[in-house]
Amino acid sequence: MVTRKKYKICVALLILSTFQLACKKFEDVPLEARTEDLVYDSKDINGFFADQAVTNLYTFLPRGYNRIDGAYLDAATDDGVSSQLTSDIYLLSKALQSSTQLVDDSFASNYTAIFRANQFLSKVDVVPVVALTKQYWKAEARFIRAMSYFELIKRYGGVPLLGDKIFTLDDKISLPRNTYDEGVQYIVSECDAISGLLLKEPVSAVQVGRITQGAALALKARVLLYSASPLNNPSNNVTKWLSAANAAKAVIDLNYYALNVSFVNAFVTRSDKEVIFAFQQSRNQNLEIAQSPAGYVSDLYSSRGLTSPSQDLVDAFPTLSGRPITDPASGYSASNPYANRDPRFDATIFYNGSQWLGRAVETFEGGRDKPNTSMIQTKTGYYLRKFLPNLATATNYAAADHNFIIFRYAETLLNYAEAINEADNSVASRTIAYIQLTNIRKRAGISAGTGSLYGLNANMTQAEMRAAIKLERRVEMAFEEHRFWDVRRWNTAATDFNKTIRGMKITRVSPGVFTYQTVNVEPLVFIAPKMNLYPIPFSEIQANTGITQNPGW
Amino acid sequence: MRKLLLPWYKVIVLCAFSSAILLSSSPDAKAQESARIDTTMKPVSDFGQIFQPLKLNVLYGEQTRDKLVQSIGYLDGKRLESSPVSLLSNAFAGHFSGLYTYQSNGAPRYDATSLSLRGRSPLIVIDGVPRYNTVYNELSLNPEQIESITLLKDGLSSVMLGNRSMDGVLMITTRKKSTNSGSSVSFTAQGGIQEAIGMRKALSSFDYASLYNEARANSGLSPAFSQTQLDGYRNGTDPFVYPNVDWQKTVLRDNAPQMRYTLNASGNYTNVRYFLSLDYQNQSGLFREDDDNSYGTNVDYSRYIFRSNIELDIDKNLRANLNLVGNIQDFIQPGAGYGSIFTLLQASPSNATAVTNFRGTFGGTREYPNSPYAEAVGTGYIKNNLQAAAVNVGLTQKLGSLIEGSWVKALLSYSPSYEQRINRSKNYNAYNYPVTGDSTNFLRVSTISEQPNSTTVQGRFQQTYLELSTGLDRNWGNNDFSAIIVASYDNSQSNNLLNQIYQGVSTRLSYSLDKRFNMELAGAYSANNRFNPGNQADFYPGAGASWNLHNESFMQGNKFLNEFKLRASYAKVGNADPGYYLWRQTYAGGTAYIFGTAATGTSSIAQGALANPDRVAEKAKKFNVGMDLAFSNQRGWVNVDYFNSSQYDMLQTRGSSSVILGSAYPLENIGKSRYSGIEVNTGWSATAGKLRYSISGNISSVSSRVLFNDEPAQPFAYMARTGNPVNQIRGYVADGFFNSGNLTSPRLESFTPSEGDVKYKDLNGDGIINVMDQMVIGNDKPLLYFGANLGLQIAGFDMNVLFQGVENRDIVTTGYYQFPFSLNGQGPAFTYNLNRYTPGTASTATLPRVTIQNEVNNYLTSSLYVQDASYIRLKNLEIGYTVNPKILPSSVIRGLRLFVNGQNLSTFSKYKDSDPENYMGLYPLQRIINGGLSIKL
Repeated sequence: MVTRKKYKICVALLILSTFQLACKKFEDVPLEARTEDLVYDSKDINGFFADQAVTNLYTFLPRGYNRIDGAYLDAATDDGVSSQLTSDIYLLSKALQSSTQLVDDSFASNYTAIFRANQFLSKVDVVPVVALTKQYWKAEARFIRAMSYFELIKRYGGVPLLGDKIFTLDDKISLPRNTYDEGVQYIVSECDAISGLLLKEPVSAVQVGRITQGAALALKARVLLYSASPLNNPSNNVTKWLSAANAAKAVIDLNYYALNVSFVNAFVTRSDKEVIFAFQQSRNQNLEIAQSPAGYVSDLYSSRGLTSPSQDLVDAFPTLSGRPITDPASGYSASNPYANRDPRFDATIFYNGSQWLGRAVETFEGGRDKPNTSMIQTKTGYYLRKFLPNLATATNYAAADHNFIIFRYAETLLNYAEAINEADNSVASRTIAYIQLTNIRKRAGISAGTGSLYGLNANMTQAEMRAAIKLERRVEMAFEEHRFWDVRRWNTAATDFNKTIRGMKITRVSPGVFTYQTVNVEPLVFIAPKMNLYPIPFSEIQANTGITQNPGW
Repeated sequence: MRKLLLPWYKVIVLCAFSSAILLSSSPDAKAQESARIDTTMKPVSDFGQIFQPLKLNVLYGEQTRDKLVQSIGYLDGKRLESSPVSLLSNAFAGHFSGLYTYQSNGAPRYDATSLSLRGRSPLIVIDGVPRYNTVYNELSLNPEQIESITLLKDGLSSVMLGNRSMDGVLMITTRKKSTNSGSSVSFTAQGGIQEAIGMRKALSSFDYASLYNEARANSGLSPAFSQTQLDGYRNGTDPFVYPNVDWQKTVLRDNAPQMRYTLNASGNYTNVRYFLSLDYQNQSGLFREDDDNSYGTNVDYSRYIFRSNIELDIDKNLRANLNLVGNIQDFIQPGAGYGSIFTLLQASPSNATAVTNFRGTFGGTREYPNSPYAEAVGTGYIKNNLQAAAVNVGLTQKLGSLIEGSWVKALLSYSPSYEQRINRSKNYNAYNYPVTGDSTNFLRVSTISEQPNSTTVQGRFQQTYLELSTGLDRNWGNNDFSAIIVASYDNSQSNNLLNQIYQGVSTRLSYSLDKRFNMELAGAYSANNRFNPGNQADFYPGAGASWNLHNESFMQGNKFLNEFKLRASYAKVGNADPGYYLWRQTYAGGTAYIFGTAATGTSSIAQGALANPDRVAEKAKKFNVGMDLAFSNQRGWVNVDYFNSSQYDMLQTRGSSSVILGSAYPLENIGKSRYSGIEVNTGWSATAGKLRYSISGNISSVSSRVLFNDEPAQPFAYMARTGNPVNQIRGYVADGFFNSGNLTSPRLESFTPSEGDVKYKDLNGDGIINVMDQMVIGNDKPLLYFGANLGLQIAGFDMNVLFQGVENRDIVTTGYYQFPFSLNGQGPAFTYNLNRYTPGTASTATLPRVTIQNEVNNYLTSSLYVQDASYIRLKNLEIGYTVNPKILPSSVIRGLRLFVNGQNLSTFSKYKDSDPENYMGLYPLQRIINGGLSIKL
């Protein structure tokens, strides 16, 4: 019977221990997974997490540089090609993308930003932060929502506008598209509503990078410019151009923004009056590594030379006198083609003979930067210099500011010039356009020349002025993700983007003596009008029965 | 006070119901566990038991074969002993019907075979305690410890596990005693060599460079390799500048050793039974080492296992079980990691770089700065230490004095494991000298770094398992009855996650009438704490019956047929897959953003995927019918099973998941699918003169069908997944290559085909190849898998052969190992890449022309890259010789056996480019030749 007792004790102990375990108090649900009432805390006067929710919205802002599988979006234009042998960018440049092979597809990410902005706007009211902070936050959220819609209509045409609607799992989403113009209207009305609620320039050092009044006005100016352009304004309704001009003027009239005296520095300065709004990045040397000519390698640094600008772009740069290279009086010499050019050329292109890290770039056949081995190297004889600080005599790369500029004051000036020139075919309008162009060319470092026209023809017609503005946009804003969209909105991609990209074959005859021969590199293909818009993802067409595919896809 | 997971009133009702049945049964019946064991027992042969034994382990107990209702697979642990593998699961292939095995990685310690039981990955239960696959060290048992493995295949056999019953169960029972009474000690020492199989053959430098130039020419680019370089590769005069390296031979040894020592002691006495085991095993990796290192860098896996199983009869009614298990593992690998070195090894062409440059330091180039050799020997090492233990304490009390035939049992198991990683990895210097002999002209392509000494916790896991059960076994007249009720509590903690708790109450009632009719009812009410409190628990019932026709009077005259049983079962089973509290809507940190001139990183937070608070366990209704036959005095037998499992409440995202929602859709319980199949086991075991032999085989089929997946309306029927097998391969249908005669055939929009590009079928006839032209291109037939075994024994010699194979298995080859130069103009090419299209080989080419740039058309997933990876392997072969004890020199040694065995000896497959199981460039599987001796004391 002793054993019987023992066993009873054992069982009792076991049962007790079970009970003990069951009673122990421990975390019911994981506390690190924060819930809504903590994020939008009605007791937190600092709005610690609500602030982070706003910050999260910023991460959806468009960014550029080598974002398409290591290539610039501009590598799908006539401005250049990717040096890489394989990259998604080829789907765009060779017209091979489809609704199931998507490139630069931001349909989902923009609607995510819109959802998060709407969610923030609907919840943040309970957070007891000071009114002004909350006003800024809400306006910032609305800006990002508007920006997201712009990124959508730019790519896909009219898309469903959700307003403040937040869908839940109970909703069966079957939404038809709104029109492009409704999208424009919504964005403009939002910009109008928030421009007075946002931070005003100048902002304090810690606020650099936050959305300001200027950003909202610049967005409005760009949206209206796009909507007035031939692709979206086939009947050429000039009032659209006029509102675009007025919107651009409103940015100028803030009397705050200005061109940086140095074209190079405009891209590598974190806080600069030329930068209206930029995607902020920590200081890095990613661009130096990605873009510098492929032969620049040592223990300390390496270079990948991922982008090869085209001969077309090179030829588009005027000479120092501001005249096109085709002009016999321009000072251009085919046997010494890189001398005596618009200083922006030097700041944009690495050509054979550019100075970099203490030596000359060698893109002649067999040169250190074009050895013709299996290494990734330039296809055109050029590399992309733009966006990098001046390292001509440096010995190493250093971390630099590489914010991707979303709105630059130079663009505003060009937007203004383009819109005013189209709004009104008059000398007065063209005079305004002249002022914008000469301001830009002056800063570029082009010689003033006779009548301080900086190489521009005097007394241009509206069409001549249009061509001059288009050229200026191309060289001033190369690789800033403008030309890809500009040519589409001008509805001229069928010719501009259907050509063979050319490069320069440089042969070294003897040290310092070179011969130049343009060569075909690869074709650029554009199917018009289909490719003016992107395809809606096939999966979305399947899931959302209300939406229709863009024509041709 | 913690909320109880179960609504206890339901439990009480269940208990009351069961006890009512118990009490209403006849009290004067005699309870005897083994009273009705069939007397036609056949002696166990030395091959190990092949046919199902008379008594089988089932969940929470045993069942005799004649009363069996469930569908169960059985394997004698002895039969695994001929497999010289370190992880037990690698020995399973071919042994069970219904269990599909797939081994895709051969790395020591990480080479676990994935198991699929009737289409699902079975739960592992060891000595009655569910163990999770994630703690794979639980399967690092050695075969000598294993008494038997039972595979619980149908719903009824696993339903007592409730919300863990859907996957079926692989139940491992360890040895508790010696076979014969008294004590015995045995010692086994064995050693073997491993040799990689299925390695791809890289092209020589000359062939590679030539093909590379051809690809560039096809892409309209100038050659990258000059004639001088080509000649240099061909002549091999300057191996530093024109290397031609066989990386496999350079980095890998021809073979690698492994060894194992096992010391077992077991005893079988009236009141005590025990089994003690000590096991040491060491497996070396395939990497070469460098004498310059003062330490080893090769993969080295050592494992010590200790096991002590003791069963004690404290008095005639109280039995105690104590199992102690210890498991210590050390794993060393090169600092760069064995996996990435293997990838690099295969991704490096022969001309990538010289192994060492002319100055004797590591070579490298700008394109290939890291050679696989330098990565294998120059990156230091990483060492993992794992300690795991388990203790099981069980007490069983017979309560015959209280209620005739009744008992209660308690089981407690605690199992911790802890793994730490010691990081002693570093980088190395590698130099490129473009001119041999010119030591001033060089580029350092890789830079040495310090060798740190840091430790990290790699994983910490602990499991506490408690089980209380009570039951009753009785018979009266022609009636046999047994009942069991089990309450279990399984609490596991993994790293920093909150504990996961499975709780349940389950019962099984078995009734047999007149040795002819058997019936079984089982059910479980079980819960998981990671679901929404309202959705944590569910009830899972099952029932089955079997009919022993051989005991019917009309069969009594039949001398040939010894056993003839028909079985049927049906159960609702479940799979709790709550995720980590995914029912809760939560916010998580997102990407940081930068503000201010100081570029300060700022944290961000955002709502995660939408939560689905209604998430519940996945479920299935499993139906099984079977037939068991034994004939010719039980020398031959056949088991046949048919199963049909209707899965529902399967987690998937909804079909209409529009991204306009702006948030990821959660998994919802909406999918429905069906798995069905037939399994046959058969065998014959007999003697012919002095020869004893056995032949056995099994074959299984699994077919599946998507019944509902909320699929959007598809424009063409062939695009639909609903109604088709699960896991089909979908893509374009390759239709030969473009040639000068058909360049205008339908093609991708705006793609300009060249001769030798892949041509695809325009399924919808619209003249364009696009998403509308994708259909099923593989895995559309039921999977068939099989094993065949031959055993022979004569005059002290024994031999065992196991073949194993799969049919109707398709794979898609893709990536750098299929497409040459596809790592942005770099990357390898293999001998099979030479079968590309060239104008001269248009009629025989199996692959498209080689290109190097902007490849869109030729690398699409298409039937061109669907490979028939069906195979048959000579999986295992063992030849042994048992020395006659009479001629042994000492009487202390009671037995001596010598043996040689081998694993993965030969593979037959239509897919020849690599190994049909391990084809994705992971650490190769090995052919193992092993030998040793076993001494009994």
